[in-house]
Amino acid sequence: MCGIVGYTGDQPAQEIILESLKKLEYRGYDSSGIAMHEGKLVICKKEGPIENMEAELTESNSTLAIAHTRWATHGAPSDANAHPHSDEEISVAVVHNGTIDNYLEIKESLEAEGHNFKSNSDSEILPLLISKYYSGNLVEAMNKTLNDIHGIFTIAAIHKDNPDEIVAVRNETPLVVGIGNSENFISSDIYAILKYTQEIVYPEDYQIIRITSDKVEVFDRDLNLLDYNVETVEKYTEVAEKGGFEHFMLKEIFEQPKALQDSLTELLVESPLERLGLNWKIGSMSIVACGTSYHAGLVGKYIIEQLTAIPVSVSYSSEFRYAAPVQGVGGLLSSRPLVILISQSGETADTLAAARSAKQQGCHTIAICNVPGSRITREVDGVIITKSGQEVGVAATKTFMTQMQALYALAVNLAFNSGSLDHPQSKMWESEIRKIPSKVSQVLNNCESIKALVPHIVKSKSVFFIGRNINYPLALEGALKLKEISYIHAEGYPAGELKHGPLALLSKDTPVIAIAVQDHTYSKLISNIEEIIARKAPVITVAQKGDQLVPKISDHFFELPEIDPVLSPFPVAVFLQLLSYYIADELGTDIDKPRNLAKSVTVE
Amino acid sequence: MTAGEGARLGSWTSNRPKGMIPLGNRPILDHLVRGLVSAGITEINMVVGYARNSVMSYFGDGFSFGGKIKYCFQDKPTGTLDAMKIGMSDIEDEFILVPGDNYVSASSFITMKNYDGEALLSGQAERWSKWGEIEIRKDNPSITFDNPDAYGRIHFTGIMKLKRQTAEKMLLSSGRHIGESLQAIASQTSFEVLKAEYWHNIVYPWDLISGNRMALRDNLLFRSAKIEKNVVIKGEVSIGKGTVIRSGSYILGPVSIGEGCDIGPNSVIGSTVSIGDNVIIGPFSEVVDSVVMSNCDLGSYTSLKGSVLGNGVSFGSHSIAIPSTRNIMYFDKEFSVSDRGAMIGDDCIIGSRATLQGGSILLSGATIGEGEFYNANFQGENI
Repeated sequence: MCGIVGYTGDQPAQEIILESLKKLEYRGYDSSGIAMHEGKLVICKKEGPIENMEAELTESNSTLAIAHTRWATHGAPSDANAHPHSDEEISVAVVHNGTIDNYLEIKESLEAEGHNFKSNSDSEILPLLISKYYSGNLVEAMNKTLNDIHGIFTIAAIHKDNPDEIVAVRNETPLVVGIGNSENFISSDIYAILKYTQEIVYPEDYQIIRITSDKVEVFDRDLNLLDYNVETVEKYTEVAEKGGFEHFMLKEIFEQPKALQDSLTELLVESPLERLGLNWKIGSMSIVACGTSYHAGLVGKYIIEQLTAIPVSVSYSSEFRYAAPVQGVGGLLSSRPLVILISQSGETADTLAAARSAKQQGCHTIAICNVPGSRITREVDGVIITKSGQEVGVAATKTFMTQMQALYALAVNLAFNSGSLDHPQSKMWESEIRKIPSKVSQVLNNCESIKALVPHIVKSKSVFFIGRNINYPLALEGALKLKEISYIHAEGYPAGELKHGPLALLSKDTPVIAIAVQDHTYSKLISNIEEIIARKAPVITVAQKGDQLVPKISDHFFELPEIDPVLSPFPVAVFLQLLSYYIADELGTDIDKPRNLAKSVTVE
Repeated sequence: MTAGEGARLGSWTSNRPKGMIPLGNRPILDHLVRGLVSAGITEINMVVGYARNSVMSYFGDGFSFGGKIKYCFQDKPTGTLDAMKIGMSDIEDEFILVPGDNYVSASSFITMKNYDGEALLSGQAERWSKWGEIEIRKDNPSITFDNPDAYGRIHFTGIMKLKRQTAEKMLLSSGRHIGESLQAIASQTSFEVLKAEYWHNIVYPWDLISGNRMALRDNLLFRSAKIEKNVVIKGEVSIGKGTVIRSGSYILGPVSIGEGCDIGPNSVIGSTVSIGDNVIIGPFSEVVDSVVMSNCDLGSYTSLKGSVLGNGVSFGSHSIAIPSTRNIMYFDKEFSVSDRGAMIGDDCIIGSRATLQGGSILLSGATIGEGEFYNANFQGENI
C-alpha cells in the first residue's frame, strides 16, 4: 500500500513521474503528491485521486522528482497528511510507504526541540530527522535517521542542495531501482517504470540507495559501497492502460485466457517438483494466504486432497502467523510439512510474516506469486511464478485463476510423484488442464447472458452464494467479489450450512446464487436449492451444459461450457467475476478503486 | 475495421471475430498491425464490434506492437461504410482504410504510404471478392461487381488511401458498403491503383490453408524449445517456449509452432504448417500444409494434409485427412476446392481410425465415431 516513485535524469521529470505514479495508483488513492527541484524544493499535494493533484500543477523543468500515492494508515486522508512531507525550511522532502512504530516517542522529542507538526502522519518525523542530521551528505543523514526509527518502511528523500540526487531505503516494504540512459528511477514496483527501463536492481533491507542521473550507488549501514546485481526483466505486453475497456477489471477478466495460457508452460512442461525441491514424501500441507488468494488456496485443498490424499489445511495469513506451531503446519509434525504461501504481489505483510514463521518451524516453503523478484520470492525455498501480467484492478481476477491453475498443476505433479496417479492418468489430467483457457473463453463469449441477470440482483440489499465441495470456495469468492466492488452485502456458504442459520435471513428479496455442477454432491445441492425455493428466495443457478433439472427448478440459469466438474471452478469464477462486474457497473461504483481498499496490502 | 463476425467461417470464429483467426500462428489482425507499424503508420483507429473484447485484450493500447491503438465501437452490423464513418471520427486529413479480415503483406503498406495521393490497393484472387473488382475505364479506375466468377482479374482488396473529403463524399452516397459507395462516386474522383505484393481474401474455411502458406512468409523467427536428440529441423522454423520436440522428429520449414506443445517422437511436420499453443502431436504422426489451432490433441499415427483443425480438436490415433480436388457444397453453394483435406471446426472430436475424405467440413463441436468414413458431402454434426 502507498506507492512511491522517483526520477532523476536529463528529461523534465514531472510528466514521467505522473505517468509512473498513475500506474501505482492501485496501491492507494486517498491522496497524492510530488516534490520537485526548481532552484528550491517545490511540493504539490492533494487529497483524493492523482487527477486532483495534477490539476494544481504548473509546468516545471525540474529533472528531479519524487512522488507518492497514499493509502491512509496514520492520519485521515487530507492535504496536510498527503506526502511528500518536509521540514519547516523545506530543505528536505520525503515520501514514505509503511508505518513507523515509535513515531509518537520521536514526535514528542522533536516537539520538545521546538518543531511544530503540520500533519497527523507518522511520516512527518522523517524530514525533520533527516534535516536534523544533514551536514552536506544526504546518505549519512538517512543512515543516522535509520538509527532512530523502528517499523516497516520505504523512504525516499531529496534535498534542496542537490538537484540530481535521490536517497532511498527500505525495510520489508518494496523498493526497486530502474537503470536508464542518463536517467535513473526508484519505484514501489517494476510495472510503473517498465516503460522506461527493464534493467532493475532489487535492494535488500537497510541498504541505502543513492541515485543520480548517471549513477546508482548502494551502501551498507557502515556506508561502504556495495556491488549489486542488475536484473533484466521481461517486458510485459500488457501495460497498465485500459486499451479500450471501460475498467481495468473488465480488461483483466478478458485477459484470463491469455494469463492461463502464459502460465501453463512452466507448470506442465518443465518438471516443477525438482525446481521446487519437492521430491520427497510430503506428510502434510498448509496453504496460507489472504483474501482472494485464500479462496484459491481452498480450491487447492480440494484438488490436492482428491489427487494425492495428503491432508491440506488452509489458513488466513494473519491467523497462521500467530497460531501455535502444531496448528500452523496441519497438525502433523512426523514428516517435514510443506507450507504453500499465495500472494499476488509477493509483498503482503501478513503472508510474508507467515512465510518466516513457517521457515522458523522447519517447514519447506513454496510461494505462488505473480511478481517476479518480489519480496516473498526471495525468502522461500521454492517459487511458482504465475504469468498473469500486472493486475491493476483492486478486485483480483486473473491472478485468482492462475493461482488455482498453479495448484491444480502442482496437485497433478505431486500425485504422479507419489504414485497416486499413474502415467496415463496424469497425462489425462494435463490435457484437461490445457483445455481450461478455451473453456474460460467460452464463458467470456457468453458475457451478454450474464449481463442479462443483473436486473434480478442489482436492487437487493443482500445476496447469498452457495456451493458444495470444490465450488464452495467459489461461493466465498463470488460473495467477496460482489461486496468489494458493488458494496452489496453478500455471503458465501457451503450449501449444506444454510439450514444451520442463514436460512433465517432468506426472503423474496435475497437472491441466492447456487453453483450446481454434477459431481457427487449434485443431488444434495438440488435439495438445498429446494429448501431455498420453499422460502421464496429467488434462485440463480450456474450449471453444466446439458443439465435438465436445474433450469426447471431455478428462477434464472446460466449454462457453463462442457467441463469436468473438478475443473468447473475456472468457468464458474469467470461467471461470478462478470456478474459482480456488471452489477457494480450498473450501480456506478468506482470498480477499479473500491472505497477503503487498495491492492498489495503491505500493512498488517 | 474488424467489427464483423465472418459468418462463413462461423465454426472457427466462435470465440473471436474473423480477424483473430490465426494464419502463420498469428491472428490476421496481428499481421496487419505489425505491417502498418513497420511501414511507419503507428496511429491506428480500430473499429471493433463482434467479440471486441478478444481483440482489445490481445492488442491493448498497441504499445507492445510499437503503435498506438484507439478503439472505436460499432455495436451493430451496420455495414462497412458505417464502420469507416465510426473509425474516421477524429481523422482530419488523410488515412489508410484496412479491412481487418484479409491478409496482406507488410510491403503493400509501404507502397500505400509512399504514394502521394489517393489510391486503391489491388490484388489477385481466384474468385469473387466482396470488395469488387477494379476496372479501368478511360484511365479512371472504377469498382464493379458484375463478374462474380472472375478468375485472375484485378480485385479490390478493400484497402485504400483516401482524404477526409473523399470519405465524406462516400458517406453521402447510398448503400451500406464501401464498394457500392466507391462505385457511386467513381466519376468524381481519381484514384491511383497500386498493386499488393501478396494478398489473400479469407472468406471460406479452405482459404485458411492457402492464407497460412502466404502468412508463413512473414514467419517471426524465434526458437526457445527443448529439442531432444536426433531431431532434424530445416528451413524457417519458429518454436515457442515450453515446447518439446521429441527424438526422431523431422521438421521442414516454413513452420511455426506455438508455446507449450509436445511434438511426439518420430513425427514429421511441414512444410507450411502452423501449430498453435498447447498442441499435442502423438508419435509417428505426419502434419503437412495445415493449420492446427491451439489446444488440439492428435493421437499417434495420424496423418493430416491440407487441413485445418480449429481450437481444441481431438484427433484420434490412426485417423487421416488426405487432400483431394473436388466440388463441395457449403452454405448451399457449390465450390470447387483443390488440394484440401479436412476443415474441422472448434472442439470437434474425431475418434480413432477415422478417415476424412478430402474437402470434408465439420462444424464446431461435431463428433466422428471410431473407424468412421466421413464423406465430404455431409456437413452435419455427428456420425
